[in-house]
Amino acid sequence: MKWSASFCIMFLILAANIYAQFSGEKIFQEKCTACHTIGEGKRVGPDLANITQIRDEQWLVKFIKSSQSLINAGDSLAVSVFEENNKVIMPDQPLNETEIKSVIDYISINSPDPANPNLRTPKQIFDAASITDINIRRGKALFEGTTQFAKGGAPCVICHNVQMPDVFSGGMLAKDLSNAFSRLSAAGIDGIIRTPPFPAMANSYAQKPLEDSEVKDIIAFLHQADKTNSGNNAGAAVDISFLAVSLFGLNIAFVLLLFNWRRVKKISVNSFH
Amino acid sequence: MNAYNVIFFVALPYAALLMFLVGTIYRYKATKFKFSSLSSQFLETRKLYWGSVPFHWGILFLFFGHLTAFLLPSSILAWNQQPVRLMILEVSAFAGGVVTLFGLIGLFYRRLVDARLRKVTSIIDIVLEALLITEIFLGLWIAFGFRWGSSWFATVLSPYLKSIFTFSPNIDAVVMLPFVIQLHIILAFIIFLIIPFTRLVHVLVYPLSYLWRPYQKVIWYWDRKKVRDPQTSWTMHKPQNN
Repeated sequence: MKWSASFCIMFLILAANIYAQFSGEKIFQEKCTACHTIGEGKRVGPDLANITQIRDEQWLVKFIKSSQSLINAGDSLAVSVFEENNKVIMPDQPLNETEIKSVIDYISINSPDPANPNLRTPKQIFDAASITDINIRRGKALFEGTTQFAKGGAPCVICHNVQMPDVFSGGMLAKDLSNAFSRLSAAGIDGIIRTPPFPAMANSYAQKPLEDSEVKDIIAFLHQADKTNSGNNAGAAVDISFLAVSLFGLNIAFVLLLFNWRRVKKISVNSFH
Repeated sequence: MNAYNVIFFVALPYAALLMFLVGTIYRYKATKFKFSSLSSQFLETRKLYWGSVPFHWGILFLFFGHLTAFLLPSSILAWNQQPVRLMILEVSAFAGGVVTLFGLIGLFYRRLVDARLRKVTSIIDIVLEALLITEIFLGLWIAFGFRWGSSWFATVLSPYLKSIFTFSPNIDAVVMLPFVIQLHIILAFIIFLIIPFTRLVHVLVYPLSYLWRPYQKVIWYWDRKKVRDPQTSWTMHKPQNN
């Protein structure tokens, strides 16, 4: 009983956490991106990269909820922000405190490291809590090649296999990626995709690198594959069906040969001597 | 860069191309009459059919498949974008390979067991057929063991071959490939290298001009159907006037 209760509580905390991360991204994309970016410069409003390091979280919650209330109340910081941004009013947001905090968390997670702006934190590379079915589906389509990479790079499936239900059996020239996520970690996969250490892969993607969102989707797909990989050797089934269909093709070829055989002169010119 | 890699993947291809070019031109000029397959059809027909026909159908299919992947890699990748189309291509290529191997083994057997053929067989014929059998066997091994070769050929081998033809060889990717694939590539260059000294030169003198030459009117002066009856020997002779 005690174990079940603990499990339920843990599950609820986890679920709440996942929901918060997910809703943070969703809310940010829906309500904030028109005026703000995270590390991509100022739009109508300021760039919010590392905003949590220069502003108090409680103040941010109040400002996001209703910036006008703070300005009207004479909050000096709010007034200066308002004036710095050409006195454009930020609309009040009908969000509760949990939702606002999830947005702040999302901004924090996705902000570049100020000490090393090119270095991304593991959470920025991949955050299991923030991936959705859409990421996994897009990752699968990119992996299989049914959706092309934006810059035209070759799909992963031509060299790599992933054992997963409903995923087309991949090539066997390079490593099987069914457990790549456990073996390499998200950061490892990210690094290999962006700057491949293998010459064949480097040749393929040097001029046609993947976009950030594509890398994220591929990692999401490999994460899912890692979770669902049952260890069944699906490759053997493909090998058998490959041979079976080839046998069918061979039959067609030999039927054609036999058909043609009927009208071939079987005895050579000098055989009757 | 390993010296062997440079020898096999840079020096050998250039040696093969040079030998192919100079050797075929020289041989065409020097021994024009022998610039052919030196057909042995008159010596034996029955085994020839089951060797020659599947071999030629198969090898043409495989050769032009490789050529397309080299010249138009993006077209192959575009075709392979749908798994069903990829399967169709791979299975056809594999079946084509088996048909070719079947035919070639038939030809090899025919050349070894037929007393008449042994008289017109040189060592280079045996070497060439053995090389071709090995090459096709390796190709089948690759198609099965390192599947989706049609796609990775386009991304790995096409750039390598292009780098050879543009005189800026880049062998980084090739040296990392499995040994079976490397051997397939090396043997292909060796086959190209010996082409000028073999019956294979006949690929260069395919009578394409027959496609547009004026037709020839043939008037049969004897019973054509009887002569062409596949079940009988050539028992009839053309009537003599004198």
